[in-house]
Amino acid sequence: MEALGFNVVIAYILTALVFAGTSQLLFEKVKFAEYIYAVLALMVCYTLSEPNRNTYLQLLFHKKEYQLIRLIENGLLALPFFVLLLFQNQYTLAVIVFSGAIILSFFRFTVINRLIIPTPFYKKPFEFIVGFRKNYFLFIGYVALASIAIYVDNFNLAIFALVLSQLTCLNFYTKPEPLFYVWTHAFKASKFLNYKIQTATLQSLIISLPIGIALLFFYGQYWYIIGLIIILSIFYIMLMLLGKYAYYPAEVNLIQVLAVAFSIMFPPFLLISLSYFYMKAKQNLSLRVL
Amino acid sequence: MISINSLHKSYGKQAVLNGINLTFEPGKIYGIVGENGAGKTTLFKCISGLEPFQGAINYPEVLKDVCGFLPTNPFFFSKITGQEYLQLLCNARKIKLEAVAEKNMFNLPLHRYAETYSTGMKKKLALTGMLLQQNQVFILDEPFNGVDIQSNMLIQEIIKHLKNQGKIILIASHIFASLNALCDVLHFIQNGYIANTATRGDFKQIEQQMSQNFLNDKVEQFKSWL
Repeated sequence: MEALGFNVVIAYILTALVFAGTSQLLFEKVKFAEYIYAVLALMVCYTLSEPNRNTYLQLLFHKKEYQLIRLIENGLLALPFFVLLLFQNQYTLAVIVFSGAIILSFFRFTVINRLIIPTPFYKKPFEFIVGFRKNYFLFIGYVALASIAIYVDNFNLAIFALVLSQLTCLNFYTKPEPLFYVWTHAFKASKFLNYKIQTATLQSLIISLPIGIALLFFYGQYWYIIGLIIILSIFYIMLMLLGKYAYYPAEVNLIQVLAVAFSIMFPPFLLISLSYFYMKAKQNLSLRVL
Repeated sequence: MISINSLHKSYGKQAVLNGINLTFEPGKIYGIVGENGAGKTTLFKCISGLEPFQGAINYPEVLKDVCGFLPTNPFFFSKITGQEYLQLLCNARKIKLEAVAEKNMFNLPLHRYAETYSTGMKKKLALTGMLLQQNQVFILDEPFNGVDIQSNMLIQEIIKHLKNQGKIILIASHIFASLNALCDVLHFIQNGYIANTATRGDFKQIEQQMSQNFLNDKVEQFKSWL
């Protein structure tokens, strides 16, 4: 938020409001939201167990200080989830989340992090394969969620799992890669962008297949909703990708965020935003590196 | 042939390269030496097209499309295996990656994530990628640092082979012995200028110039307080 030019205090308040609002919406609209919520909380805490950052912290601090930092980190991260679960009268889950977060602060997942996750994306390795491997547990969670949704015959929840899966893919394209990885392509800017768009489309389509096919099988009458969500999500992924290269090598900026937000609220705007970002990305890459 | 005319590069008000004029011919190995911060890496980045600059760099083809650059500390995406890195580099040049095991000269564990490699292994992986890309120009920034002795010997042999194939090779290194064994021409870069150039047989004068410029004063300096 600070990188987008927000005052830090306002950024904190906004983040808290968005978090509370989204949580409330989740509890209102989705069955078994409390379980999704609890898993999400523990997953967020799990990310802090990443071995590189833990090694760095251990180099900087004494053993006791390091453990205290990890406890405070996980405690602070789990606190909002804990409070909102209490607010929803989910006392047992609240206790499980908080104690789980505390337990996680004692672990470093070196083995899991070095585990080679097989993927169908190995022929076109770039940000997608990285994102998939970093978030594979989320995708397992989404498939599980969709399965539960189909089992309890809740179409909305199953669609929500599909949306979450595609939103996660969207996130793969937010961070610009080092210049070397663009530079090394012996392509003109437009060809590079087309190549990246084709790859992103194919790979996000593959990721949507397990839930998409299951939904089509059990809720075939809603094929148009399922299809529309998959197509729209691919357009949003394209938008994110083009936005990344439009301002490359700078990080994600406010215009890009607003364009994506406005395109989500008003999908026909995608026609304008996609064309605009494509032209801008082409111009930017031609000037800088390709 | 690469010809560099009047190359200037500044970061803000700080000039790093001040009018560099050089030519690099196919089938020759060029060494670039100088202190840390003298402008060696910046020169390499300008030649490869990774940094914008003022002046002209001419080459018969689009230089970046046939150029491989080995940075001092190669960066690898997390969660990408050695083999996937090589695949990425081959995709970038529309080259089909085949018989990887045969081309894995350094016996790297290609099934492992590249980020878990040691410094030397990372360098060897990056070098393997450059070779698979079938480049015409090789820019190597500190290729021998952090690499074991046997691999260093192999890298030297590879560089000699590339020379025989008519490639242009530029090397920045602080290891004078390696440069002595490999280079046809040595350029000494100082404060953004080419302070001296020597051909094979005359490298000693650059070594002397470097030590005169730097070492004598510093020895007196540390002796005064250490």
